[in-house]
Amino acid sequence: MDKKERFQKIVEFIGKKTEADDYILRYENENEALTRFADNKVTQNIDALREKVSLTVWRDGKKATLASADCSEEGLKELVRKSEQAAESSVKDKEYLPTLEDDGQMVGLMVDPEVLKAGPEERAAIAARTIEKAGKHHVTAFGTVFHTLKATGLATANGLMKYYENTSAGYSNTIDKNGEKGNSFSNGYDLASMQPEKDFEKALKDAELLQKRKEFEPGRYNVLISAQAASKLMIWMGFFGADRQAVDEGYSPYSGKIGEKLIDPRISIGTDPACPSAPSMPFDSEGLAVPQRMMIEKGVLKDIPCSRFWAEKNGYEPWSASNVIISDGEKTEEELLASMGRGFYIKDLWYIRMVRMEDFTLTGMTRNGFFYVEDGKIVTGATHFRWNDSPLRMMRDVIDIGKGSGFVDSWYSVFTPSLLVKDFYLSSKTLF
Amino acid sequence: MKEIAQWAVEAMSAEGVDYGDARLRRTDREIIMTQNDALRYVDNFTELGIGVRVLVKGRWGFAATPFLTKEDIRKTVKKAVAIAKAAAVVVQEPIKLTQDKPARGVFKTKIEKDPFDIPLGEKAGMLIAAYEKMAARKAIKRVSGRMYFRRMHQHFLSTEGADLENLVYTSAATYNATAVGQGDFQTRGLPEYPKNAGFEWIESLKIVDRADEVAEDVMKKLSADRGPAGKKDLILLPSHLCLTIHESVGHPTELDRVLGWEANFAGTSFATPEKRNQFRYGSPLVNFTADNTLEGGLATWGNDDDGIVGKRWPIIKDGILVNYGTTRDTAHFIGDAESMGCNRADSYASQPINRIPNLSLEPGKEPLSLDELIADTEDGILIDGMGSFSIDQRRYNFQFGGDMFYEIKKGKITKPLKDVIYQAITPEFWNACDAICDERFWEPYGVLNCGKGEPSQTQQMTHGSAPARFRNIDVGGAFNG
Repeated sequence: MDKKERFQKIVEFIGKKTEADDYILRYENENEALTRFADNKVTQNIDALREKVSLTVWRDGKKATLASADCSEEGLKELVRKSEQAAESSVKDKEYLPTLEDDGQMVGLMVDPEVLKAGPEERAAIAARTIEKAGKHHVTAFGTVFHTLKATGLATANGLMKYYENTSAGYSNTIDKNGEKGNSFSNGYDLASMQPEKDFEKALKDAELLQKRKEFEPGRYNVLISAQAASKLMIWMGFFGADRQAVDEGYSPYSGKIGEKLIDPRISIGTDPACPSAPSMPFDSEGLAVPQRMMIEKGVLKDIPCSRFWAEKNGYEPWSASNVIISDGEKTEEELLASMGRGFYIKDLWYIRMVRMEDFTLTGMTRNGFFYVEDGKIVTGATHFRWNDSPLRMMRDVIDIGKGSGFVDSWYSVFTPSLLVKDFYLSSKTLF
Repeated sequence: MKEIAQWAVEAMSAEGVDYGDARLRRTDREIIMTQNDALRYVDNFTELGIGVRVLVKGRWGFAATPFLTKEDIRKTVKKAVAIAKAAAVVVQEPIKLTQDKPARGVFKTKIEKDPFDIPLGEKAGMLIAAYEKMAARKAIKRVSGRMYFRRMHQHFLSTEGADLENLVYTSAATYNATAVGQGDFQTRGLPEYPKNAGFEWIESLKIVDRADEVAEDVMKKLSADRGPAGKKDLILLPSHLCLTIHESVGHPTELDRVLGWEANFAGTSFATPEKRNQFRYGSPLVNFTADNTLEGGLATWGNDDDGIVGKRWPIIKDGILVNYGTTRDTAHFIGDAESMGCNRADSYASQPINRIPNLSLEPGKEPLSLDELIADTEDGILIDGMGSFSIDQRRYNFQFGGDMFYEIKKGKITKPLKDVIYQAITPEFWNACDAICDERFWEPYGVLNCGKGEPSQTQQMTHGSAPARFRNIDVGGAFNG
């Protein structure tokens, strides 16, 4: 039985068994296969299957959610019984709204059959090629090769039923030469997104350029942030403060700023689940279709994702985001680099966390490829810095914008350009 | 249940693997989240499945399934073996295991009340009651509550004869209040104090009674001065030190990182093997002990997922790095004959990886109270609770915030502060430790959300400490550019 059929049978079965006043059923099935290598050897090699049915039920206005990995008829019966029992002992759901009805959304699948064909032999062969090349270049390789198939279904008591399947494939490697490391990764929904040969070359080149790095002093510098590095930074735009209730109640960096020019007018930020290089879930956890929609349009804060509860209460339209899509420019990273005066080229960022939500100040480290630039040319590899800065500030003071790239993260998909940014704050040194 | 794991071991033996283990694990996990008086999210998840790991000619193969018929188990074992054999194309040094004696036994967390027997309404009701105590303060716009419970029941069997059963409970509760006003917003939380225990632990925390205290703190923060910039002496409370220990001592002493196995993702470590028994990690006052036997410790599972029974061992002794957290496939790289038992998986469907054990800073040996420590501090800041945290990929440069801050001048707490951030280099920081309160003040806080590995896994561990002082630490640099 294929996964969609299995989901439909579960929906039918639970629909017959439940006596809940209202319910949402969510189904997930994931097959994750990954080969991990480090120090020129395979250290992990997995193929794991997970399946889960989650049932949110309301009884007399009280809500509970139970989930189970047991999708047998007996398991589902038990899930219905326990979830209804839990709802009866729960508290009134003060934000209850009837579950959604069918909205006619046509859900397209993002499945590449080539990913489904790939097995442990293909992953091992890619790892073996990388390790062999590493041996020839007298370097050490670390990385992963993965193939994933994920199915997600959602159904409500009010007749909504949606099903989405997506594949993802990815390769990443870190190449160490004499203790200096370069990193590169490529991923997407299809097998062709994986580019292990290019990623090896890119990481090796960075590791070579980093030999005999020089130390620099902290301060504010113009920086070129590669699209790969920017993807790790801009993912945060999807997580913090992008909630209309938080904005209205005053605890979001966007509070009081709707309609204001927030960043450079060359940049727009929004969501688009159908973005081919950074696809994402086309519906949210309640089944609401995720639209193609702008949050920041030509630099102006236009709109913020809003829950159904808050929208109903305040007369807004509810909407959700499931990826971060940032408009891009025409220039390659090489062209942006050539236009730089003095500054740094940042090819990777690490351990990014919120420092002060009020102005969206984040902190993190530079990692792997990090280069000092003068007159548009890389002069030397540089020792790493801690940085503290706000992506909103950075996009307000952006000098130029490069071509974009899409990245499929396990949390979120991001499409982002490379950015040439003024006065990035490299706040303290580390010891390497 | 055990019979299913036994089928897997029999199938692995029949396949002729060099080593194999089966973990049949049932996990019940409940997360309850409230916002003000609304139950925003509740998820009570039961997962049951088996993970089989085989070593064939020095290559790992791991496969997992939630389908538990004898035929499914046989297929899963075959898949694991096929994966291991597929890796034979990689020319590499074979994976080796330390020769630990196979263990047998049963471990159960001591509990009085199973949290899964407590009605949802009672649990959510406690978080909502905490909000209701704060609701009269109009500036408090949001109170986000969270409870977390886990019950993990596992059978671990191996082809070497290990036969271990464990039943482990974890309970945690917290909430955060956000106040808005004066052109600012600030948050203060009830420090999360997770423990391997039953619901009696949540009751003992008196989370409703403490709501007024949290509300008063967040109001103080809203009108507080911003933290200063410069060098300050810091007094760090156990609720805060927990995360500093985790990031600057826990992760750097995981042996897989030290060996570079996390170089592509979580990073490596400066605490390399040649530094063992030589490197001054901290001042002579600084003693760190790993203890996977600690009662209530979040990593106290009876055994790890290599089948190694919980151990207690020093990591830093009198300030010197002396050992690591190790696994059966890493320990031999530093010449050790036995693993210290730090291999853990977050699910039946995850291959276990090297994780931080319960790792704690020993209390000071001389009598010293928190009041005495404050009285002895001329110009400092006291920090409670966790906040922003970040550390570099070799675990040198870190930057931490906190949740509540007080200025100390001439031996007295003078006023609350907000937006305090400090930054240091790990060995310099621990060498700046000049006072640790005594055992009366030692508290075992912990971490529930330690992320590591590819694919990412989440793990939990305890980090106890007593309040400690660190001299001349850089503060305020994050905002000082």
